[in-house]
Amino acid sequence: MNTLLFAHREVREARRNRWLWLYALVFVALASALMWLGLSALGSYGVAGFGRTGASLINLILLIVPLMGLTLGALSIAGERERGTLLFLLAQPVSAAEVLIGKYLGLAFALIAALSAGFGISGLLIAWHGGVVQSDLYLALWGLTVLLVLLSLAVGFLISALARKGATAMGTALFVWLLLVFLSDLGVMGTALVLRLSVGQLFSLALLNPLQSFKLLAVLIVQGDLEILGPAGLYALRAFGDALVPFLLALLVGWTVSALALSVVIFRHRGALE
Amino acid sequence: MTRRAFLVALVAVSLSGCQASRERPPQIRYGRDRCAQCGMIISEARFAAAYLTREGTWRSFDDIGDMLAFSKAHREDVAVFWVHDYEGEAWLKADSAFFVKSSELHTPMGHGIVALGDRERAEQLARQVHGSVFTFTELLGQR
Amino acid sequence: MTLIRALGILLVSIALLAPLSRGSPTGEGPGMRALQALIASAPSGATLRVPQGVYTGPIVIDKPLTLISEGAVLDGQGQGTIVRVTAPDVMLKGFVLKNSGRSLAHEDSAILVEAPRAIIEENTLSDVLFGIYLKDAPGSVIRRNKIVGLDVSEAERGDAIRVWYSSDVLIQENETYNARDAIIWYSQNVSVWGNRFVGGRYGIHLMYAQEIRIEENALLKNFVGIYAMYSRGVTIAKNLSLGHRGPSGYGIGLKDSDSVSVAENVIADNSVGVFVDNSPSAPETPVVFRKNLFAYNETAVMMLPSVRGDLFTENSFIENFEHVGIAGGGQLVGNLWERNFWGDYLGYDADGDGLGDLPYKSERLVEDLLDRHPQMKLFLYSPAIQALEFAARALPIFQPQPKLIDPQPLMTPVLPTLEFARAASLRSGMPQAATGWLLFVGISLIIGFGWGVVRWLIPHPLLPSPSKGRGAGGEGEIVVRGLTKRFGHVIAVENLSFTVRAGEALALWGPNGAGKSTVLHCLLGLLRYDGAIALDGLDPHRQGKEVRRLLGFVPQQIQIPDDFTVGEALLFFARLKGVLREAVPPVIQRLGLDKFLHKRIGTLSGGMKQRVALAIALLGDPPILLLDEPTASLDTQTRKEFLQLLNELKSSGKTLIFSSHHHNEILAVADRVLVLEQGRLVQIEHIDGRGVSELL
Repeated sequence: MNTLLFAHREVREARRNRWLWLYALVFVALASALMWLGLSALGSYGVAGFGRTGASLINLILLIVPLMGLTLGALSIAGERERGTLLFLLAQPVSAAEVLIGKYLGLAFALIAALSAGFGISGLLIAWHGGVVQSDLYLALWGLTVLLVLLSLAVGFLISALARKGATAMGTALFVWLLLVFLSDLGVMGTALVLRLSVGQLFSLALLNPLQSFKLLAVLIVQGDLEILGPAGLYALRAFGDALVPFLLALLVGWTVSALALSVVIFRHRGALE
Repeated sequence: MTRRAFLVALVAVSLSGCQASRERPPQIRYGRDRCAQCGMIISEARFAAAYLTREGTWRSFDDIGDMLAFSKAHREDVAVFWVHDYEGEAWLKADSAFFVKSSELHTPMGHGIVALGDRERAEQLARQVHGSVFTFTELLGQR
Repeated sequence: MTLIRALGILLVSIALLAPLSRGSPTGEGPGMRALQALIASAPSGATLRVPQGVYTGPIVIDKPLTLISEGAVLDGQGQGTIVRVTAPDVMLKGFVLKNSGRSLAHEDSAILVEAPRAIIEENTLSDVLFGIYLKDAPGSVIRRNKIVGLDVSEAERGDAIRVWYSSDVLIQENETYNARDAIIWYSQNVSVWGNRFVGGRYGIHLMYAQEIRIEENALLKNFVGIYAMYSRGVTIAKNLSLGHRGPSGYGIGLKDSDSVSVAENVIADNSVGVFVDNSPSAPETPVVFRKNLFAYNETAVMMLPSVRGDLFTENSFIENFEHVGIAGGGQLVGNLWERNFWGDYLGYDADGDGLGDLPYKSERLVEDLLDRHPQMKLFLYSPAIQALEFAARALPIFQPQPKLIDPQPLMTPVLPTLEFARAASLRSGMPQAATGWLLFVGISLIIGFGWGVVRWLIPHPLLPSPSKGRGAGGEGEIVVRGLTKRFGHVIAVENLSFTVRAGEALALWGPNGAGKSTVLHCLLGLLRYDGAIALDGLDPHRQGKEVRRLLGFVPQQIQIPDDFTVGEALLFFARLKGVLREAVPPVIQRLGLDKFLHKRIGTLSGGMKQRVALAIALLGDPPILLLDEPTASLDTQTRKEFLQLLNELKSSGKTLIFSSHHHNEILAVADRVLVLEQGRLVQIEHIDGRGVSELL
């Protein structure tokens, strides 16, 4: 019950969070622009399917959504700790886990609302433009994006529980974002080229980055297949078969849950003051 | 991530890519994998063939004739050639199989070559389709 | 006459025993005998109108006949070939054929034609392995049939249409679904026009064929749209090839084919638009791509590096992930790229002749990388790939050699016009209702978010107030033994022991950094410490939540988000402490906050804020109040009022522990004072006037 109270308080706080509004705005604008561009050409042949536009949407989501989750998550605990509000909250008859989970749920709700707005408005644009989108795929991509934002928010909370200062948390979050979005993939690519890793090794190594799980699932949703990802995609299908989707989903959820659990443990240990 | 965790992950992934064995028959996903020679999707097991190079690379083919053509053109160091029994669809090593060649056999690439596990059935089929029986060495020599 | 007829029936029956011997059918129905007898009795060249009814196969047409169905269904009962035509000039029109055998080895078909000049027209074939099989049947026509393959795995399917050594054939306006191929073997001069091939393996497949015209067909979602292998003289024009995906998802594939013209096709949404392998295979047999539209393919044109002699002209390349790819990497040489439209061309046309003044160069580092190391496609769509591309553009050192140069690219695309394309396009459209719902949910979420509809969470009657939410009870006795707290190397509190009786007021006195706040935080269970603390027998370490239920905490300055009103804040903390709603108004009155309930916290004075803090601390009527420098930020007047409040609380039986460095404050409220210096207890004094004034 207390958790819900904190969640509500967090939603209320989030409404005044300029970062969140900015992210939402950017996401809505870019998603709509993508949809518009993707649909305006060649619609007359009926070829402007979701596939192509969806692909650029995946790219956009991969770029922005982790940034949203990581930074907002990182600012949450660390910011309150710095302002002193956290101390006052924890001095009440509540547990640290309740505070953290409550804040997580509240921020998650706010972020999901922002994402839904992005998806909703771009969907509206498609419909208005007379475009053709399989709404089940669109909804599936939305759901997957929700998972991604939950994941990055959890990692953000972990950073926040660890950091002593808001600025440290923010800096760490940005670095982790850079790492997840760019550096790890580039690193794996380089490693694979230098060490001549087999496709299976490459695939396993790439999956260490949870964003790759998201991407694989998103490609599966949009293209219905992983073959577009070349030999590694084929390897994934062959190695996992029907278990691939549950496996990748489990990876995403696993990352989220363990990041959140770890941040609860750390937060309980450190509290508001240490 | 700590360096140790990274190393553990590396070891784990390298164990997963184990070495192909000479004795293990090839694995072809029908309707998905492509013929190394013609690029067509391999659909029918009874015509499909494959070989393993000494480097450990598999090459799959939709037609025994394509395997012969490919190995002749690329001159790879082949460890073992595999073909399918035309009737039972079991994998056979090519050097222990008997081959029937006839224009009445409609193989995917029109080479008209199929393989059988024993000479008796091979000769029987050859009579039916007005073809002749060869060993794998003879086939390699013909090309 | 009747005798001859009876004899004929007998003969046919005997003839039929042969095919039946291969796995017996479930009895030969009267219908079959009737049709076969009808055929047997009809004179050569006659026209038979086959009445409505189900006729079981197999049926052999062994003389030139025209068979027109009037609702006849030919059922193969899952055995062998249904209709076999062994005589020339047979026409079969309007039949429904279903359930052929399923043996690929025997090539079980719906209709097998083994003689010239058959016309197979307007039949509907379903659940058949092979559909229409022309075997040595030159001059035949396959027109307006609908063929639906078996619902089995890809490897077990047969060809919808197979043309085998049959030249001068016309395949027109048929529709096929879920079959293997429409395949043309060893034949010349075949026209494939206006058909629709959906969900097969290869929509149209040429093997060793010559002089083939493929025009105005729709090829949708097969593995490969059109695959020409070892063929010569192929014209592929005005076709629509869409949605071919997978490891060999080619819109059009050319393998060892010569003299091929591919013109005015729309090739879109394929993994590879056009795949070219060793075509042309001989000199002087050019392969020409003209006025095609390549759009939304992963790779529009994929060529093996060995390909020479292809001409691409007036094609439009739009929105492909990669316009031209080289399978396995390497360089393309010996092909011509002239006057194509390239969607990513950045040049200009100063002289207005419709041609760009700068050549188009296809050069992308990432494409090159992916061509060479296809396993890296795993990272496709990752922002890392874009970063790499961006870096490559910024630092030209990384630039690979251009894959191709189009010296005079078109400024505007030449889009082919396909009359049938609109109708044929994939309309797997979005159910509008679902979109509507999605939008509704999305937009209501924004509004709910912005306007605070989620407020329902707080005043909601369904949220029960916990029953034990009354005064926390308890005595309010505090025992501290050997309390030690270190922050890193700094010792904040060292070996502190004291006891506070219920109803007593204890002051913690000392300079800044003496450890006063730390003691309070340890009591609240907000810090880990060494030693033992018991509040009414409860341990803050292990029973933090229960301990805090006994405590009301007032910090030096209250920290609540500024936009909460006083009422909201009280309600929030009441819920947090599990206090009944009814318990809130007395606290409000007691602290005189009635008039401030709708004021925002941010607008309150310091004194009022501390009152609010005290009110929050008093919610749930805890026996102990902890106050950390509660008056530090107050002016003299408000401090006086606040101290009075504290005295009232003390006299109502609360245990008070407060830190302070104002001696008059301590004199006014405390019973005893703990003097701390650098975390150590220096002295405990009872307040009886004399001693303390010395001390302070």
